[in-house]
Amino acid sequence: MSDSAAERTDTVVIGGGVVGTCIAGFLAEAGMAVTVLDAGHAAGSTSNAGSLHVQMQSRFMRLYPDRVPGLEAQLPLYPLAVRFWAELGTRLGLDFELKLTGGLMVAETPEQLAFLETKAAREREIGLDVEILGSEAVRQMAPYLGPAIIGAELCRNEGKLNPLAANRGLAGWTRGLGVLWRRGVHVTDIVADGDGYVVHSAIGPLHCRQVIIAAAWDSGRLATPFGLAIPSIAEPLNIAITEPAQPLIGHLVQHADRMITLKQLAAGQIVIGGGWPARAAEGSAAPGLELDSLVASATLGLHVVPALGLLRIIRCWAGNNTVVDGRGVLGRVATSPGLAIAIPGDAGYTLGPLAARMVADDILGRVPIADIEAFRPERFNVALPAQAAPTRAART
Amino acid sequence: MFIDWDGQALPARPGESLLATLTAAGITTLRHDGQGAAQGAWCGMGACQACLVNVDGMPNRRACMVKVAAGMTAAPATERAKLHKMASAPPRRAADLPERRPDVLVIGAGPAGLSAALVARRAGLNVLLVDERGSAGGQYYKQPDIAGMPIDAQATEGAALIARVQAAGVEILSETTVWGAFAGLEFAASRGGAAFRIRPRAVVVATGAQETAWPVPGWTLPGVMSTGAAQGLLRTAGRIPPGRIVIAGNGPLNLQLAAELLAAGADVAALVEAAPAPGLGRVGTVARMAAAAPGLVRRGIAYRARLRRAGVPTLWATQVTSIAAGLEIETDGGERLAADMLCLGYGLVPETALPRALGAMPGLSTNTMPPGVFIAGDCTTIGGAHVAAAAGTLAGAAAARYLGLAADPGEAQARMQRAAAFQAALWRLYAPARPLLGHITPTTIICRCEGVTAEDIAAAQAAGAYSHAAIKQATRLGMGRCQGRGCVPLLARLSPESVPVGLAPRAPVRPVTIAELAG
Repeated sequence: MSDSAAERTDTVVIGGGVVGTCIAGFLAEAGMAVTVLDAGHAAGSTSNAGSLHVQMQSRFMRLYPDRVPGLEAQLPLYPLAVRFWAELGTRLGLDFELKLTGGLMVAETPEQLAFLETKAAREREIGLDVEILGSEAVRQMAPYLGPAIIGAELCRNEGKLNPLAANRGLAGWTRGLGVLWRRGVHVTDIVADGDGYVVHSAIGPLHCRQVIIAAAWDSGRLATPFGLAIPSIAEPLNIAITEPAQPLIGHLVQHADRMITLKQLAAGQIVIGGGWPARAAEGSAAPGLELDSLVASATLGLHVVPALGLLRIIRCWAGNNTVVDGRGVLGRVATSPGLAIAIPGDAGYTLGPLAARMVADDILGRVPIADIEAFRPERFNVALPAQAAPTRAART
Repeated sequence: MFIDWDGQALPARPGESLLATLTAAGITTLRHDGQGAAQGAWCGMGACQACLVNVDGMPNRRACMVKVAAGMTAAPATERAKLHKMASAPPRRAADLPERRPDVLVIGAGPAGLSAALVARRAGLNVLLVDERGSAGGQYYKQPDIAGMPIDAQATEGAALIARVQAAGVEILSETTVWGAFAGLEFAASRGGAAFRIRPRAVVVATGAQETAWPVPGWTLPGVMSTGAAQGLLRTAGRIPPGRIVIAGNGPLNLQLAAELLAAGADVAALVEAAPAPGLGRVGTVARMAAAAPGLVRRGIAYRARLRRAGVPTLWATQVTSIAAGLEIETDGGERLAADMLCLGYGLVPETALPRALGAMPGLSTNTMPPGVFIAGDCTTIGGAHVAAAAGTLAGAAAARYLGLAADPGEAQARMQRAAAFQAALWRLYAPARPLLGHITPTTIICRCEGVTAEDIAAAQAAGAYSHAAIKQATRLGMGRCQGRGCVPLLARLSPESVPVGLAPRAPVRPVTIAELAG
């Protein structure tokens, strides 16, 4: 198919996860004609299980110590992001089953508690509402915790939602605004073309005025031709879910020194995740499961909440978390007018709608809802070859 | 011996399943699900998770798999499990699990698994044969759970095969559920409430099949169970449901169940068969079958004679189209039948969760499996017990050859061809008069675990769910305890245009308690 016969649209969003969905919605609300190209088979990330994170995750600090400054720079966004989720649901009349029950990061040893105290002090400086609970206080607040737990950091504005309900509701909202969805479309590359872009995929070239790359770990690849070296990598993670239980665990539970995220959904199921690896898969196949991740996360869950013993795990899945440098990559690419990037950063689902709003504001020339400067893609600028951004001819 | 069911003392036979005790007492409603719908047993073989009950304070046990014990207290499972404080256990890793390292792991002790284990053992290998049920034999060679129960030719044949396997030195682990298969020939299993790892050098997967759902209004009502489930209760525990029994479906298993229930003194009201009555046009087919397997043909003729003598009507070329509480059954021929128990046997679907976890795609065959993985019997294609036994021998021999040993499959190839020819003729004889589609109305349940109806699926499709994964996310279809075993084949029919990805059961392919993982 020649380019002259190619399809045309105004705005293309690459990625139909929570970020791409929200950007599409915000731009469509501003009157733009938007097409979403989603490589996956359903709106929404597969890695998220509905946790709304605010405090720094100890796992991230341990695994990526060099990226903690980036994470700290982003930390003020998390409470805003949780509030934005709640406000978005109210504004759109959508029920995300969002519950801000608070989050507890538990400690088993004095050393772990000391780590939490240092972390909490730093977080308070940045403006988070956190508090250290001793043994008595934590047991009173969370009687479900096991005897090994001697204290915890409480972060009041953490919580959880039902990602299936949220993804479904948000996708429906964009459809109501006239957003066109093309699913199962893997974008091979984006090429600058005059004062616009051509997006190539199996459905043929798609001409547009502007492109937003909201493709999570795949964003780095798509941004490379435009002089950006974004180190976005996929981190496949294991998540287990139980059958429904009577209400027991209100909080989002994490651990100061071990990888676990544990919460109970509104329907009663308990979801156990927290960063245990899954096996990376080739091509479009789903990541494979690791027995060790299931055993380790579930028995850690039992250690923290002993009442879980008789509950059955009915399913595991694996999904990809996206790691960059601890910070999101958000906003227009100055050297390529009409191109924007939207990678929310760690705990991307929590940040998703807010990050999308920031990028949409940037594109629309509005003052972003939160300061975007620290997250701009320019920090990954590399020198381009002399001919600047490649053209289609150069590509072939 | 008595057990307590929800405050009521029920007579039980030592050795039998809780489902056998309950069914014999006429109790069909075992619980109410999250949507308030009454649920009873369906598959009777541990796959569907419909028959959940609470047993001695433990939530969500499968009545079909739990053996009764003196003093047992059982009650309907609640929609949300009640949790109890337990002793805290230290966290552990997969490497901390007890480990078994046989040369060959055989999963499933039906005709295929038994045969595979035997030939691999005779080749000189150390073979571990595991099975989820209380005794080896699988669905076809079901062995009695009750001491001293009379057994028929089919069970005797099975007992002889099991004895040969044991005598050859195969280690058989019953009541052992393999619930995960991972890359690199790593398997996770549970037995007696504790998980362990199995790391064989080769594996033969022989996990059989389960009955297909029959999507008509009312198919999930208590009192409607699969033909295989009813046969299991009869053959393992000598239990028959009280009241009038209607058996409906397609194929010889339904006729066999009707005849066996009659012989056991049950009140069989009717047999509803989707195939037309055998006529003169089929004489040639029957003659070819008789030449291939005279014993089986004689058995079929005897079953039919028994129904005639008892005056049980057979409704030929007829399918069940709806079931109302009570049970009031309607057929596509306009007949109305009343029953206390309805057995449905409209075919089988292969149990493919473990091979798919190892990378096999649907429509799997042994040639496309990863190195060291062999697969045999009804979990590949439905061919019946005799085809499965021969295929098991071939798979066990292939596993031995893979490990560098000579193995003698004997006449297995010829046996398999003969059995397959017989099976093909049998299916010609039983070709349904009309396609087996059920009767799906907007409110017909498609996914039983999550209560998803046909109209829920249609609504999701209308809202843009274009793939099976998207329909799953939109409706929760396939997200329940059975992980889509019942509903995914139906979904494939309702939405053939969808991209069929991502709906294979994943570990744990059977639910596993967290305490089991902690040991």
